[in-house]
Amino acid sequence: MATFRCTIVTPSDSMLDEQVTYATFQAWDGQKGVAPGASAFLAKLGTGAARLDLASGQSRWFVIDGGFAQMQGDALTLLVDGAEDAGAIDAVKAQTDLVEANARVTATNPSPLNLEQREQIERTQRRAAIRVALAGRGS
Amino acid sequence: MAQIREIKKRMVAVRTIQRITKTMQMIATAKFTASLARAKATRPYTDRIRQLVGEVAAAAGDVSHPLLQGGGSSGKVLVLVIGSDRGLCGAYNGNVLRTAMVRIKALKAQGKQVVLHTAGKKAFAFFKYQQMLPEERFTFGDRPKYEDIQALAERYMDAFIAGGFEQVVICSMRFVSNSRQIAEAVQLLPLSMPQTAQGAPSASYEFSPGAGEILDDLLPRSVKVSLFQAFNDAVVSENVMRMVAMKAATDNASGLGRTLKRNYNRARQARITTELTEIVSGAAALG
Repeated sequence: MATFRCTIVTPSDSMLDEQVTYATFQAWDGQKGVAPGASAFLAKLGTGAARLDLASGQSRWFVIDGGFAQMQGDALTLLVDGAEDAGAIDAVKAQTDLVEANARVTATNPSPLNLEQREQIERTQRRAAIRVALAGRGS
Repeated sequence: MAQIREIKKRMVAVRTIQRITKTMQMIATAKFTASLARAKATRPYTDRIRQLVGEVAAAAGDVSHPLLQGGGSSGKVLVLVIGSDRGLCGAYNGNVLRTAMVRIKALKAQGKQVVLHTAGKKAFAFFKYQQMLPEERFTFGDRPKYEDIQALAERYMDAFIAGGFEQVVICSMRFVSNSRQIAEAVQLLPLSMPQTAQGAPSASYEFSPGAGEILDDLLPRSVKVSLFQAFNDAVVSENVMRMVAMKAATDNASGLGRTLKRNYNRARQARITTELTEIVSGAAALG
């Protein structure tokens, strides 16, 4: 089966460098899938899940949090602001984080939040929800 | 007798110092290895972001962004000097501070008002002594976190875009290799476009969203990673320079110990000879 190289790079670490048969991830405007032989693209990433189907037949899941996806030649690079291996997520902690994130969204603040603060809170909530959904999906 | 006791005391002191410097050398070696691994881990992201800035800028054509233009005409230049928290690291702080002073003097000669920020206790102490009290001081420790540096970079970018500063300059030590570290003053803002931006992109990308929008997102990231890289390089350079300085100190102490041992033996032998001469002379006088 045809494969291509996929790497996930964060500002402080390289999280993955593997041959994959298919990759799907959250782009800024929705889910995007990449198969071998895809043409070159550069896309902005959103906050969401990334699934990589490895050449060995297994799949790996990651929570990604903004950045860029670059397909060049036969290599896909996800330059992400933050990434977390789904296998390393503590389900109980993730659930607690989601409850806290939901509470922050619905909380009434004494002073009105600006757009940036509102976006930040919603982004945290989205990430918390994805972490709960992916918790334990290591491979 | 007094001389022998004096030499013995010095030998003990030198041995103690040697033991301390040897331990510090080993600690610096361990810290250097860890910090180098961290700095190397940040390189792929930094390099790729810079490469993308060049390629997207080339595709976007006529680029105009507040971070690329001059930051108003306030006449103020922010200079961030990255030093160390601790001493005993050879010429590390000396070289960085000398480079910073040269840049500050040049800026003042151009009629600019320099706003000083420092990272590390040594840099702050130096400027305080020079009666150039920094407006702000930071301590990021041995492991600068990306989140902390990102927040600092965002503050600088906001102030620059608002026209608070014309320029932001970082004075720090760049790590080239184990045997080469260069103290330099680098302009962080306004951003200068990489060379690839002048030519054609290496691949014809399909951009999503458009190249201009992606560039708007990439340029602030480029500033953040440049600042993060500067801090990481500074930590690696500090550790490698401390390692070299402590090795030199250990070697010097070892050499001094050998000399003292030789002097001690010579003095002890002289005392024995004197005592023997006295005994022989006494025996001859009695006989």
